[in-house]
Amino acid sequence: MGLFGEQPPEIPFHAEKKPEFTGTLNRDNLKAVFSGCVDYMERQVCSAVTGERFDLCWVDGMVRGERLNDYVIHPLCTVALPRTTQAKAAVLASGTWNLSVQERTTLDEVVQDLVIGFAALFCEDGVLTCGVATEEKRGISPPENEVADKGSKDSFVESLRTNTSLTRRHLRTPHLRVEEFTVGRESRTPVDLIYLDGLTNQDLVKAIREKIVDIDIDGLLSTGDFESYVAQRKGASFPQMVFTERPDRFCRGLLNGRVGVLMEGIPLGGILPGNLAQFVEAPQDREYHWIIASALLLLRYLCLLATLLLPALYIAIASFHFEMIPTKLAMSIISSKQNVPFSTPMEVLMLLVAFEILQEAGLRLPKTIGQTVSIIGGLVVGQAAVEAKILSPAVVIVVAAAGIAGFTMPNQDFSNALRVWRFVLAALAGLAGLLGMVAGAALLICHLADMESFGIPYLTPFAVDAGQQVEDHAVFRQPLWKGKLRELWLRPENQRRQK
Amino acid sequence: MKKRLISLLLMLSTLFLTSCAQTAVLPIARDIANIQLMRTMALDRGKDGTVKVTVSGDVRPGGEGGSPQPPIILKQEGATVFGAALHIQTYGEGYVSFGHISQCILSAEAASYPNAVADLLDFVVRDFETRISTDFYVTEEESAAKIVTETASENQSTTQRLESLRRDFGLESNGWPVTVREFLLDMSDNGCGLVPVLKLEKNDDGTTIVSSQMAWFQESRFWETLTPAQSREAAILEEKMESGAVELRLRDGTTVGLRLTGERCEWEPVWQGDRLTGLNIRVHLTADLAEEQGKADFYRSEVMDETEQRFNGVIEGQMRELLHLSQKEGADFLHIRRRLAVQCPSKHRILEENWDEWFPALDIRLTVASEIQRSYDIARVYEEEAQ
Repeated sequence: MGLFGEQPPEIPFHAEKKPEFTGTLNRDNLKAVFSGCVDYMERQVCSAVTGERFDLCWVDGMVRGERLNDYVIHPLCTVALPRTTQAKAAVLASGTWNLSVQERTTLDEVVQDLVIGFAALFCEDGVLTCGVATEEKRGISPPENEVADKGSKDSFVESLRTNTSLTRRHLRTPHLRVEEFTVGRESRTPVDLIYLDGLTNQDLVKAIREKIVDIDIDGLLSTGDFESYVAQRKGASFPQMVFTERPDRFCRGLLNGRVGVLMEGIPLGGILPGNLAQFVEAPQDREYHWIIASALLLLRYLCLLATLLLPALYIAIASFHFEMIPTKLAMSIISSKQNVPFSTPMEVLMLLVAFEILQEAGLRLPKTIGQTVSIIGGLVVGQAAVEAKILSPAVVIVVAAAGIAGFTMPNQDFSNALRVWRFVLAALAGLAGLLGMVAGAALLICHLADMESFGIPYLTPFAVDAGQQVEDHAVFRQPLWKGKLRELWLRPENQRRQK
Repeated sequence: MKKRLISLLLMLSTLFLTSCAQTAVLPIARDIANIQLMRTMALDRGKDGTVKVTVSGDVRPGGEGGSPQPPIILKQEGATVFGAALHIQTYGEGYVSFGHISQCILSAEAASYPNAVADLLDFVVRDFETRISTDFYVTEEESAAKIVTETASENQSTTQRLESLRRDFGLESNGWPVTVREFLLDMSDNGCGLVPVLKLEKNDDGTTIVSSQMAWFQESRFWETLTPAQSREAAILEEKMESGAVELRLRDGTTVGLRLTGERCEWEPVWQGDRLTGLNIRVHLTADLAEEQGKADFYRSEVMDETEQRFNGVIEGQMRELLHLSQKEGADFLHIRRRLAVQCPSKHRILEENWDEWFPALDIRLTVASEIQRSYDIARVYEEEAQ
């Protein structure tokens, strides 16, 4: 008996059949493969010069009509092909004008080409596939979630090739390597592995490459589909991979010796390996003066502690250790809790849940309505609950402060993990006061210390280098001219960043 | 996985380290909403050697639109302070917390028994709730409870009055606040300590608490009360003075009000071999001319000199009285030995061994010097401009 009912019978592993389509390569078999597909198209083209006939097949919507017309049909109809018995060779030589033409000998190859935007040209003596894929895509726009004050205003889009070109525009080095893999049996999503040759540790590249090759899923349609399989600690709620929509941040990661991952259909770039500091640092940190950036970074670390510990600390103090707070504060809390029917832990947990509901409702609704929900939920209902003595003002302040502190985290995945642990710590504080809170915090630290991402401890830079001075970024950011070395724990082949 | 499980179990096992209860695994929760905070504790002796404990809270807010409620005052008697405090628990509306008691008042009568202070303060020192940083007072009124009960009203609690008194101690410098910790440290040093004395004063608005002098404890019991002037000199010698007023009458009949603004004391031991034979104390005071009523011209140096001499004379005379009292009684309540031991750490042991013999016969030479700042005389400026 499982947690959610009876255990289902074990389903055997479905081995991938390769090649998938094994019939003879002809038009009828191809049509049979795409039977029931209204977007499968065929037509016959006849050369006006030689009278020779060709069969052309493609998947509508995946090809760009103009390209098919201009690069394939038009030359076939109008150009005098060389007189030869080998029609395929003649077409390959001058019968099509597009960049990519490949000779195919198996049905499986042709099918795979068609679904990614090729057109199949059946000649008398063979089959050619011509790359006429459409490149319809969203234009490059400013990043929405990672605002750039002084940085570049471009962001990744859904087109993989556009994203690789954005990366190349930021790093115009011939050392930039882009390896491509196809992930997903059904989605066949191209995934690009990007790194700088001669800089990035090759063992790291190899490890990530192996992880990508090992992914055997039906479809890669979101970042989670990828991260969940690449992450080394699969049960952890904390993210182990940084996703950014800003190419400059993505390239900064590559320059530090990390490995980038881009996926077709996902307007984000992934950076591996991920560690704690990366999730607290914001892209703007390098845009500001080092003193300002350090102050903001310190503030974010304080907010991290506040969002995680504040509700738990309040519960512990108000329920177990009221002697430790200043008398005036204790009196103020007592006075605010007069006639409130719930115990402090219950009050805090209830409000935390309400806060999460409000946040979730605001996210799911359109932006304008979402704001209304926030105002009604936060101000009107909150105020009413306090006036009706259902909640005490102190609890509202504590939970709101913890929530707002959580919003300062630059990474949403990291912020979400903190939200989960905030509940855990609050519950433990309700159970055993400061003792429970400290035990929970110790558990969290052990959990984080136990995590690794491709050989890099998750608590980097606080748990590496045997206590040596950390270059560049830790709780404070060094002046840029002082950070001579890259992040050494990544073991880059080229360790020096500047002279 | 196994390691993680073991780590988790080890961490969970820390929950058993509560040490507060043998039977309960987890600490006992007491929600702050059900707490009655007590702020002031008064200790008296009852008949047959029992202890009377009176505790008082703060003024309670009256709720929406309601008038404030007078503070809760709870009294109980027991063989020990702890016993009485435990009885008090059963009378409160919620859990009566002694954790926020910030003032402890002892009646002189209760403190006059041998070892009285050590006995009565033992609860404050030992109890896990009470704070050792609690302010400590003594009163010569008929009971310490009277201080609490007669000053509590809808508008003010004893606590509030004592807190305000604590802040204002420095204004007159006839004393200084002393915490239980400081007092017990003084007592453990040489069995002597100074504690501010509280008195009730009736005025048109009712009864209020005042404090203008220090009491002197010796052998762990109340001994004697210093005069306000002696208390001020003690504050100067302890360098705990913040400000203070000294009024003088000059030869021409002018009355002068001086505001004390600073003090510096130098203690110089005189050794003959390994024997302490004397002590030179140099006190340097600064003061402002706060007020003059008369015809003296303070722009003349001889008037200023006369003022300084008179001022030095007054302070020196009272200080000599205080030092003489201390020597006569063999009670080093100014903790001179501790001061000298800090100055000469190598003589610490010899001072400790011989202090009782040396101190009464010590040749103490006191010098008081002062610097009085003449304030700006606006009338004189006008006169000069007119001329």
